[in-house]
Amino acid sequence: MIDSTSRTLREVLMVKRVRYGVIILLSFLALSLIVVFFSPFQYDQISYNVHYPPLSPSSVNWPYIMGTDNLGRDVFTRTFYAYILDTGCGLAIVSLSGLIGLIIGLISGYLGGLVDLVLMRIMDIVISIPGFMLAIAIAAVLGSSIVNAVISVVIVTVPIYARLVRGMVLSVKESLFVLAAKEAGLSTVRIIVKHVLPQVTPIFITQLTMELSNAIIYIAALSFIGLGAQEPVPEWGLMISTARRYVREAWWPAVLPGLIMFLTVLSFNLIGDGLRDYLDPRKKLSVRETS
Amino acid sequence: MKPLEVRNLTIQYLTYRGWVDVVSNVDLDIDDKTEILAVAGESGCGKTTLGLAIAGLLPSNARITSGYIKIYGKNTESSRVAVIFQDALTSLNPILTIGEQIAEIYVHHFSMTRSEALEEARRKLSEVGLPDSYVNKYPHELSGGERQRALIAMAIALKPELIVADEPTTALDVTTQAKVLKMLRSIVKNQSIPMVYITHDLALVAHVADRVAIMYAGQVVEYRDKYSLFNKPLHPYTRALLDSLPRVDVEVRELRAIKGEPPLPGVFAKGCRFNPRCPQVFDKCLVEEPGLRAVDNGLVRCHLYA
Amino acid sequence: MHSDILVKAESLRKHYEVRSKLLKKIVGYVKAVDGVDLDVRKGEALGLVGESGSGKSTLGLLLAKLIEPTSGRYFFKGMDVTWSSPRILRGKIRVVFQDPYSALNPRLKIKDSLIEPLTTLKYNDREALEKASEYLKLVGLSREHLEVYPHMLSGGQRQRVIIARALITEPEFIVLDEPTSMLDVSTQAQILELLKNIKEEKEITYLFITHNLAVARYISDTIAIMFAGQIMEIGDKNTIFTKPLHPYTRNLLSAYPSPDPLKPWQPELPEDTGNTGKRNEQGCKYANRCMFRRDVCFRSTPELIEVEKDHRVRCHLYSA
Repeated sequence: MIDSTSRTLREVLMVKRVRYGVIILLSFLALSLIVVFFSPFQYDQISYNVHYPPLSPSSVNWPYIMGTDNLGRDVFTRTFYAYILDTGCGLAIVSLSGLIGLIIGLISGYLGGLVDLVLMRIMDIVISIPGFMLAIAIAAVLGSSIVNAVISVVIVTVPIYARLVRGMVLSVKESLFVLAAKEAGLSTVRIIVKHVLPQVTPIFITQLTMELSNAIIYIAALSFIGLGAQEPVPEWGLMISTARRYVREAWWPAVLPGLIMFLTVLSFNLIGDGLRDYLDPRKKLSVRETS
Repeated sequence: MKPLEVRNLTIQYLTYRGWVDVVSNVDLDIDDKTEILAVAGESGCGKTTLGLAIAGLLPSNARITSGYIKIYGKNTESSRVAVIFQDALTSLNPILTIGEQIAEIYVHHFSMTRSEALEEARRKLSEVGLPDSYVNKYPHELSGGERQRALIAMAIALKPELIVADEPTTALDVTTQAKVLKMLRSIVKNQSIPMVYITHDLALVAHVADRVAIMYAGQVVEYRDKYSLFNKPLHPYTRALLDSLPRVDVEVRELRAIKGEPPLPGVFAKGCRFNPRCPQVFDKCLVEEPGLRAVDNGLVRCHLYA
Repeated sequence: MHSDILVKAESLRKHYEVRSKLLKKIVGYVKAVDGVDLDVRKGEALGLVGESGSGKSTLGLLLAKLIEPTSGRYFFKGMDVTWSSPRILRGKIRVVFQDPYSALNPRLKIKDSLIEPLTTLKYNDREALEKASEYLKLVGLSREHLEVYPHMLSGGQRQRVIIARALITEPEFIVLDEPTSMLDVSTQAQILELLKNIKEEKEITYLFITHNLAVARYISDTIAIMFAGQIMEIGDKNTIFTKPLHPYTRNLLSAYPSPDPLKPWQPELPEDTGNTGKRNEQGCKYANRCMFRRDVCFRSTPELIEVEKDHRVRCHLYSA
């Protein structure tokens, strides 16, 4: 099993898009680790001699690589701490809502009947409300903090996975090998885990990767409007929101974090997109059928 | 001019293993307008690819690397070849009525007006035994046998120079199959349309075709008129295949299956491609590929007849 | 009940409800199996022959206990198992499926698919693997095939694996649903030979479902002809082929060409009346297509009557 996974990994990496995405991912990850361990600044370190106006990102102001913000904090350090925070939250959201959605989808799809009806109606209700509005509502109710923002995005995105998985389960359920497993005497749980789940996982994981970018954007957006991270937490949305006010005097505390965020989201999109293509047209050109 | 002349035809497909031979050095003829040539073999033998090539329908991942196909002396692009495939449901447009689909042929190929075309369509439908009312029906409203008959109506509407029928009745019940095949045979005979009939079912070949070409691993291994072939099959593969058929008309005690399996396209044995499975193999078979030899008013590809 | 009757079906029916799209009200029934009585003796191969829509696959699913009947009873070795859980059978009734390309999970190695039926029986891993190798050999494959994935095998090899998977729990009764329809002619012959040998060697009882009368003739001891959910004729194989009584049986037999151009092919083709496609609901189901239909055929359903030893027919032509 190990060598088939590594072979798959190698094949996936051959897709150009995936390569670019992985390059960005690894470089940013490296930069973040460097920042965390080696940065001379704290992310919330307000300069005593408050730099006003904020230092610009020029070689003159080294080691402030990206300059400072209005409180004299190093933008570079904050941006890459935010990388860890935002990506981490994205991963948490995607894992949590993916897991919950997977379980709901599996149960709903395989068991059908009343269970399916009830679960899907709940999913329908959640999905019928525009995601961002719902996230705002939940975050407002729970209180503004990054943890609560994560919770609200999880709630909003569970139906995506539940529906996706359920759809796939419905078709896999009809496969002959599932009937054969029933015939062999396997219990329902065993059939779901051993036969249905493996068929569902590849597409499910691709969806997870693509949703990761969306999750990051959700968190940033909620923080941007004040419902997520609060000062002095380094979070992209929050940083952009604060820096927006004096963007005419200093553009870099607003633009640079935004740029890094854009590239991060792009990298995950590339990887997810490449994964999806890798999984799809592989099943072509079967010569036996064509002769 | 012969209705069909195929000489030294080799067709390759692009697979993940590179270009592989799917049809190798095939020679075939139809000499007469009323002739039905059966191309028979198991899956992987190349018969469908051959049929597609004759109809000019080879996909983009296929290429002809040697030989030619001539239909009345013309190449495939300039000829009118109608095709009847196995699955009518995917060959017919689900959102058009049967009448419209047949009429389309007349409007497009024969510049008729729509009403004239629909009249002709009705006539064609009655030729295949379907009532007038079917002109307004959609494909999914017809039974399998009726759909196949509609396909045949479309094929003859084209006034084709040749018909290629690839397993046209495999998906049908045996009673429906009998009806459709009998009808198809009588139509092409009456209208003098030569037909290439592709199938794996030798029993059908015995009653539908006039001449038979048996294919194995991309090659024609035996090519004779049907009475000679069934009376005295020459190639060991033909003989073994006939011996391994279960029968309805006689009690078969022992089936005598051929050992081994048909090869994957492109993965052929050295020498005669049938040698791994041949009950009469000898040393020459393992080194030299036999050519097609004229024998007993036909052709055989086997060292036993060198 | 004779002690050598392994499987007995009594008035088995399987009706599927047809519901309207909107209100989900029942608008009708699809009577897939509509009153089947069947006995299969131990060691016998019963060839169940029917065209598409005849209900033969549904009957197979019923006898394999993969679905439950709407009514009727099912006995296995004398025990009423109609409503028992399939667990009770502990692998004594198994199925060989039709499609070797989708009956095996493409992500599982052959060995994992093979030992699956053993999970409910008490075998440890080593014993299970031993059995897997043993049965692979029995069907003509080798130990090496344990570690490969299905896509690396040909159709014929996959079907052999499926057969081994059915045999591994040492069943007494196997339902085979068109096990060779998707295989090449030469492969079909190999698999049929294999199945016949196994049946004789292990004394297993078969229900062999097929639409192909020639295949049925080769492998069966008894033949049952099925139409529209009912058995129309059933009897000893040789009797059925030499003296077919039911009009449908004769219709089927005439439709088969023989691989000999000198033997004429003269299928009895029913004329195209509007109704030939539909089964007749009131009375004999075959009446719409039957050349010999009379008024009585539309009024009452004929019973399956014993016309001679080991030969029963359901037709008014033979009713008293």
